[in-house]
Amino acid sequence: MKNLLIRFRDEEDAATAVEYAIITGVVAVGLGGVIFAFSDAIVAMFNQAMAAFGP
Amino acid sequence: MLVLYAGLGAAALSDLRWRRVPNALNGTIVATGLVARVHLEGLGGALDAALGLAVAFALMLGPFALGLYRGGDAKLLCSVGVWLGPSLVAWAFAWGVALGGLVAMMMLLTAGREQRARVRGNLERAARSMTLPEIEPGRPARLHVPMAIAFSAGTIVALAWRF
Repeated sequence: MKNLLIRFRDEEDAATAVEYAIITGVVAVGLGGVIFAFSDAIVAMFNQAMAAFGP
Repeated sequence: MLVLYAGLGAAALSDLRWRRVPNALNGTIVATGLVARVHLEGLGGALDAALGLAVAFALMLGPFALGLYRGGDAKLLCSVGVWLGPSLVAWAFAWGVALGGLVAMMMLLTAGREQRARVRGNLERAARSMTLPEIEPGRPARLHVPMAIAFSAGTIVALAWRF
C-alpha cells in the first residue's frame, strides 16, 4: 500500500492504453445504462430500506 | 471557475503534447481551488473541497492500482474534486471515463490496420481470459489516450449539467 501511494505521488504520466480506455468506457456506459433503466426500482428499494429503519 | 477552466486547458494541452500532467499544475489547481472556496464559502467550502478530493481519490485509487489510469490523470481528478465537491466530481469522473472510451474508439478508427488488429486481438484475449490486456512496452503514442482531455471535458459536462 505504501509503495502504491508513493507511486501515486510521484507519477506524472497521463496516457492510458487504448484497450483500457475502451474497457472502462464500456463498463461506465453499461453501469450508467443499468442505473438509468432501474432508477425507479433503485429509489423504491432505498425508500423501503429507509422506511424499515423509521419509527 | 475561470481558473479551473484554465487549469483544465493547461492539463489537456500538456497531456496532448507530452502525455503527462505535472504535479506542479495539479498542485496549483488544488491550491487555487482551496483558496477560492474558503474565500467564497468559508469553513463549509473547505470541508466540501476536502470531501471532493477524498471522493476523487477513492474513485481513482482502484483504477490506478490496476494500471488503468496513470498518476497524472488520477491527481487531476483529485484536484478537480477540490473545486467541484464530492457529488459533482463523481459525475465528472463518470463522464470522463465514458468520454475517454469514446476518444479511444475514435483513435482506433484512425489508427492503421495493423495497430487496429493488435488492439482487437488484445481485447479478444482479455475477454476470453477475463483479465486485463497485456500492453506491450514501447507502443506508439497514437495507441495511448490522453485521458486528461477526457476528464477535463467530463468536468465541463458535469458543470454544464448542473446548471
